[in-house]
Amino acid sequence: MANVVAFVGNPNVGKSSLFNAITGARQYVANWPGVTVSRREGIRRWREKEIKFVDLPGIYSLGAISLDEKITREYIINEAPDVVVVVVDALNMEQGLYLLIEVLEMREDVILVVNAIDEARKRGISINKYELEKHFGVHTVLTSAVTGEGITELLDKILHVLRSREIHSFVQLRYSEEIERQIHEISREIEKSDKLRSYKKRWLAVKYLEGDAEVLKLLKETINLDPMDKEKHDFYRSEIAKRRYEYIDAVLKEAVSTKMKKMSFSEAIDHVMTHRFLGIPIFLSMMYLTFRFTFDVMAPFSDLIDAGMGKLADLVRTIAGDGWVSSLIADGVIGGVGGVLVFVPNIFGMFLALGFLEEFGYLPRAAFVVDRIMYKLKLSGRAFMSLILGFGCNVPSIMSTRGISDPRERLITILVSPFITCSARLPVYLLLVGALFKGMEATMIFIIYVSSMVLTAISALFWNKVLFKGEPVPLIMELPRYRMPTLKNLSLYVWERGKHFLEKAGGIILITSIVIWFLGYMPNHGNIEHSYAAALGRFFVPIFAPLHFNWKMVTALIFGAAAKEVVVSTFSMLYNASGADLSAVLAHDFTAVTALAFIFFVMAYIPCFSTIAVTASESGSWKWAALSVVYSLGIAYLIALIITLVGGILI
Amino acid sequence: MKEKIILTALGILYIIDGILYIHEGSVLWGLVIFTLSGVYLFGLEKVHGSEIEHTKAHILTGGIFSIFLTGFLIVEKLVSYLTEPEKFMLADIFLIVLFFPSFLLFLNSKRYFL
Repeated sequence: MANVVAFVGNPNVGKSSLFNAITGARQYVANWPGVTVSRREGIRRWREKEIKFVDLPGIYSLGAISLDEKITREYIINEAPDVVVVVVDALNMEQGLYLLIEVLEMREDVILVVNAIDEARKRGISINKYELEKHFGVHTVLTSAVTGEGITELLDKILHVLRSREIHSFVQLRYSEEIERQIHEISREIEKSDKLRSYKKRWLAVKYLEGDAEVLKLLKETINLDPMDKEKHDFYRSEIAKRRYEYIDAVLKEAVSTKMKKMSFSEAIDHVMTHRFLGIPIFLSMMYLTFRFTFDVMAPFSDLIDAGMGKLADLVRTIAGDGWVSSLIADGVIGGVGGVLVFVPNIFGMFLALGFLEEFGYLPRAAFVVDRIMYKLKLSGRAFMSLILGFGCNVPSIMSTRGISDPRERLITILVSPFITCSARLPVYLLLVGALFKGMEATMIFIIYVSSMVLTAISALFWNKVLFKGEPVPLIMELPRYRMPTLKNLSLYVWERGKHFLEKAGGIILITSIVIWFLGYMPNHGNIEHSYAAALGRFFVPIFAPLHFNWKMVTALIFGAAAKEVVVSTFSMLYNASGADLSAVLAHDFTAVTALAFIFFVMAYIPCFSTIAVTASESGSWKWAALSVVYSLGIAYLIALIITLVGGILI
Repeated sequence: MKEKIILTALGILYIIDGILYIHEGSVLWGLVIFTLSGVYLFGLEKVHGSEIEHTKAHILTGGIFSIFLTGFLIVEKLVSYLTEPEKFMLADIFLIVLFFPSFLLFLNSKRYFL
């Protein structure tokens, strides 16, 4: 059986890059914290030994407050990896070494990796690994996941620890006399319990003194300890943290020397990017450029695909004649799926732009800049980072809320996430904006996206006022260094997100396209006005009459509940046109006001099936998923109604 | 002092470019150019700490922003040749002209930081 090595470290110190460099995995590594929300595994054979590597979510401590911390802590305790590799950032070692001390209290077979050593050298920082080894008593390796420096040494060190079980000299940090006495007494009690044999006594005792909720519960259930009040726990926690930082400061004075003290490139850019007046305009400019790139730059590629799809449908009609088979392939499959595929360049373009900003390191700055606004909405910049992932897909956006430590804030973020416009909704906007708002497409798309963010913000405020009153946890995050995006990482980013769209085109969109074709073709062989699809749409039309939606729009909305792109494929089939032809037909059937009402309805109504499922699993209850569906439907209807009424008065 | 004069000049020139864009109908793009102008003009702010570092940081960021916007504009125009070629407007040409001093200043200030 392969030995197991786990990577632990603060967020964004390069754990995932190291993991990729060692295992040859090709997963995307983001330039911001909180990317790895669950563990990833990979195998590497080294000097004829098979080793399993596990990449755990980035954490600042082993406090088990956020879900990330719980995952990591439970993994170290329950799965008991053979070696734990603690990765720290060479440019910011203090917080990482704090985590190292915590891990060393849990177990001894630990290797310390100081990553980004190349960056440190560039900034005149030199690190003496022997000093670190001496003071922490662990094998230490200096690495650079970017250049590959130190990877061979790290693998050899891992192998050495695995084979010899030699754990260097292991140094145990000593606390004040009173704390050590308490640790001793608690450890003696722990020793009496068989149930606690798998835990390290000292670690349990320290966590007990710190007032760790899970450890308190565990010890209360298993042994007899005199209860301690909260003030006492707070006192011990602060004393323990103080001692750890004092020790780290002393070690760093010995182990690290800096020759130059100049502002770094990243600091200089941050000086402007996070400026109190310029921060928000820069953020909005970046958003606008993203959508301008999505529409204006990618539009010619979409036009080319559109022309190709049209020719393909014509070819099928020429070969297969006028029968139902020809209609199924040309109108159902090519019309439906092709109608959505036309927007592939736009979707990939948006991911390319977002990927560039993320890779460059701008997105965490954006979170920092909007934190002030988010705080007024009783959320933090951390929630914003989850929400911004929703531009790609709401599912990873909701999953990434695991890094939010405050349960109230996490639930609010889960509930409002579906309002952030995901890539599936983009084809609907592009189609209607292209048809009804010619010449101002990028501006309209920008306005729609900003509106979706405003709606998300208002909803967050609403939920906070109605259900979960409380103050957000202040945002404390390290801003990653700026770096030039690499082609490899950018391609991986675009492909990993874009392929999801292509998979849907070959899956749910294809299936629904065939179903819609069937409903539109039967029972009168293609007479759409008297088809089952028309009957279905007309049944619900009275509900949408105040919004001036006709039966085709209603049918598209019904099928769009499965996946939002299906709205476009439904239009393609019901109007028997795609691409530019479909735009021309829609321009005739929609008014600007109806189009806007429809766009905003699609923006807000029912999260797709996958999002509903992940809302239920992440919130822990279907009740919240149901609430999300009902709330979003109500809001969608209300907004569309307001647009229709106000538009009717103005135009 | 020399830096401050350059910052002021670039800030004002980018404001003119932004106005040109708005005049030519590209309102949001004009606002983006105003933001770039703001990056330069806020470099004149009085700050605590090293004033020269503050000024150089604004020149550096302004340069990156300028490279980014000019590159974006050129890519956008080139791609349009695939279907419907778009002409360069006066404001576009002005933006490209302003790129050169911004880029030279960027190169110069880059050396100042690690």
